Amino acid sequence: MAANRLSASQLRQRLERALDRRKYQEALRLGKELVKREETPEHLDLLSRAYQGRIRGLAGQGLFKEANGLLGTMGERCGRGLEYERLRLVVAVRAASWHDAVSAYADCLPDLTGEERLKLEALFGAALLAGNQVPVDLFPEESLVATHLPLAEAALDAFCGGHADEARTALKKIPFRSPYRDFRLLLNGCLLLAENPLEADRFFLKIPADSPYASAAACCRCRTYGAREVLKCFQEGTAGEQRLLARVFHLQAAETRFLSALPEAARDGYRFYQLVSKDGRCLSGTVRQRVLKRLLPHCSAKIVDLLQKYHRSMEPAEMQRLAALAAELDGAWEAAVEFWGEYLEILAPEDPLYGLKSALVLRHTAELLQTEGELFFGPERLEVLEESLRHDPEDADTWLEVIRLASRVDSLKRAYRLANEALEVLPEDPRILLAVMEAAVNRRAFKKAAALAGRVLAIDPINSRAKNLLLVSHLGHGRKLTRQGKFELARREFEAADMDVRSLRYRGRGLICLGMLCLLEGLETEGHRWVERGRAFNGSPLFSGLLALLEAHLFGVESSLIKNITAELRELVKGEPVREDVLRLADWMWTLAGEEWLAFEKFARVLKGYLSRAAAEQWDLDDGLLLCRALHRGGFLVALGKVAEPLHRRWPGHSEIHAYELLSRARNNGRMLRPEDAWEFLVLSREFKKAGKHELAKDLSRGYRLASEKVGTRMPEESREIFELPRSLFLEEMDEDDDDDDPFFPEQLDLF
Amino acid sequence: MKTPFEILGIAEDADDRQIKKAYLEAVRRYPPERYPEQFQRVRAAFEQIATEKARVGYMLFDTTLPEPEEIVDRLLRQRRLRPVALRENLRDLLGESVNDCCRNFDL
Repeated sequence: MAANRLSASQLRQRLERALDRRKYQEALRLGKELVKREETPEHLDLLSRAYQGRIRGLAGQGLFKEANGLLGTMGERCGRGLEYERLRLVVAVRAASWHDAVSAYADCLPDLTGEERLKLEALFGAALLAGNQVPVDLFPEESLVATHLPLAEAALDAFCGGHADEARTALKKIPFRSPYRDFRLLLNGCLLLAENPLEADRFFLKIPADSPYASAAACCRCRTYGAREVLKCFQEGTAGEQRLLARVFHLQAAETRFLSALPEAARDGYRFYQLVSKDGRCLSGTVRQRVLKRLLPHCSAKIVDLLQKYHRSMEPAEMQRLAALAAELDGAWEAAVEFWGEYLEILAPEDPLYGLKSALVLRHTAELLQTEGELFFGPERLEVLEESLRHDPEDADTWLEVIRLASRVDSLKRAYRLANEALEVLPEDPRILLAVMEAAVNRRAFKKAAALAGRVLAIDPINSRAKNLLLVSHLGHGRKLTRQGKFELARREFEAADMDVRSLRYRGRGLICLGMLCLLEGLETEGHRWVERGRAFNGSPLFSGLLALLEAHLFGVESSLIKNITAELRELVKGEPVREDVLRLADWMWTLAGEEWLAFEKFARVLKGYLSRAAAEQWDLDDGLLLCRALHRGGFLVALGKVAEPLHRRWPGHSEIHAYELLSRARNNGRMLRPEDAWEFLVLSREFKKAGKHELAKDLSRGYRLASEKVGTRMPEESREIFELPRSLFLEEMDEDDDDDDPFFPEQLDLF
Repeated sequence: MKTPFEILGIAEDADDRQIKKAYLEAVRRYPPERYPEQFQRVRAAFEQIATEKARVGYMLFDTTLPEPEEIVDRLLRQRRLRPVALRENLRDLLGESVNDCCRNFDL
């Protein structure tokens, strides 16, 4: 409804509502109409409020001419009272009309609060320091703006002239209660900015947000920003903050766009490359090229195109290297091996680092070949690593790897040859000496092994591995001499073996061997005595009986003593398992090797019932794991299930325990397997292959075949080649109850 | 991620001796008991390039993805105003600051 049709009271109501809603343009229209009808002091006051709101609004939009015009009208219509003067001051300050502002300030002064005076004087002071024409002579006498100005000017001049000490001295002269207080904080911060940004920041932070120095302080603080803060600002900051940063760092619009897009693009290698390539011109040419080169391997298959289009000037070998890395990151390890091969072919032999680069690339290739497990590329890896040693022969780790690999994928003979070659290059390296010792023991070159042990112990007198190998060498050599009928020499070896034995595994072993030697010579009484003495050293009747039985098998002794020990063991294994014995036995079974393991297999079944009862007890993770490993190795799958199942329930995320639990259920031709187990077998098998636990991986992959056949799960095409292995596993296991009837029947040793 | 050379503040063709010297200086600056994180960073960087073999291995096989922060850092290094520039610009900065204050002024 038009204002002129409304009554005065209606007009007033509408006016008040418009003022409450800050609709000042409407309020002004209604107020003028109301005052025209009834010019009362109350109505004039309402009109004045409408004018004030509208004037502030115009000034806020930078329309100072319009604001000043309206201000004049307000003065004429509503009088030039206090509100008029305050508004005049606000408009003048917003318009930065310093003459008007100081004049209005002088007029308003009696009515301003102390805080308002300080705020205005600080602003006038800052305007003066910034070089604005502020009429100093118009300030009232009591104002400190003019009084302290020379002090602040002196400090600023000193700072801008590079005289930091002078600036500090001048700043100290500015009193605390001064319009230049915030200037003092700002300049103190600036003086510290280069040397101590953190301390500088403390000064900047003290400057209030409504201070005329606040914006300058924010700019200075930006100078202390690191990359993270800047990036965060471009990612999450307001437009104002981003403008401020752009101003501080003189960033062009294209550069701010680049910075804003960077965090998102960096999540993907190719997008990252594209962004730096197209919009990263703010980086210097060298930096940009280096960043792009580092991004290339992350561009997946697109790298080939990118190299051909944009990096033609790059060295061909470098191109192959980047392509190989891209293939690796893409999981295409076969392609990577090919690229590395091409890299080696074109690598310039004149390169001073040719030999080292070749060796490292060959070793890297060997690692890639291991991706699918050494069962598949073992011989190739061995060749590649041997080739790398021709370029860099002093790498002990590679020697150790080729020796280990040769014994696994080729022959003990080759391992021994390699070990001896390593020894020629690194004669003082204890790890090489130990590897040669092991290879010598495996090749039954016991004398050589014993001699090498002396060299290791001369370097490291407490090396337990060397001591154990020395002991094994003595025992092995003694047995060898015994078989050759050289009993006297053999006796000396056994006596030597009995010296300085620390390991429980070997305690009394030399004496038992002496006893076996006597038995072979027909000296029954003496033989019994030595065996008993050896067993007594050992502590546990069960364990010492097993040792004696093992030696008897190794020596091929047939004596009444062996029958007695066997009978004794049959009785002992019927008793309650002793925890300490079980763990010792598990540790022993886990570490037995070579001919000792073969001999143990012949009577291992005697332990079946005992281990099965022991397995039913509660085991913690460490002991349980040891027991699982031993039972798995021994093929005691019923007992393995008894340990592994409860452990798997308690630690479902433990992959090795899970593997044993699965394997235990694969007994009896996999009758207890579930459909989903096939996948579990496959996943775990790959995991253990990568971890280098090849025996376990091998059993799991065989388990996978068995499970997939039993439950009808179709084997994925890509896995078929990997698991093309002999299927002679998980034969029917005899029922557990049967074992007491025939404790010497081999349980299930086809596994190994 | 900065490169190990950048972390230690050395050129990419630095030799074993220069690298060790830079490492020891960095450790003095960031003792492990006071700056465990920085120390770890310095230590890891040193191990990556301590020997010629390690350096060649790093150059051949490193695939660390550059981080956005690294890019921004390089950019800021080119642009960050040196103290002398701040001196030259402070009066202008004050002028802009006063204008900002005026725009929002009220009583």
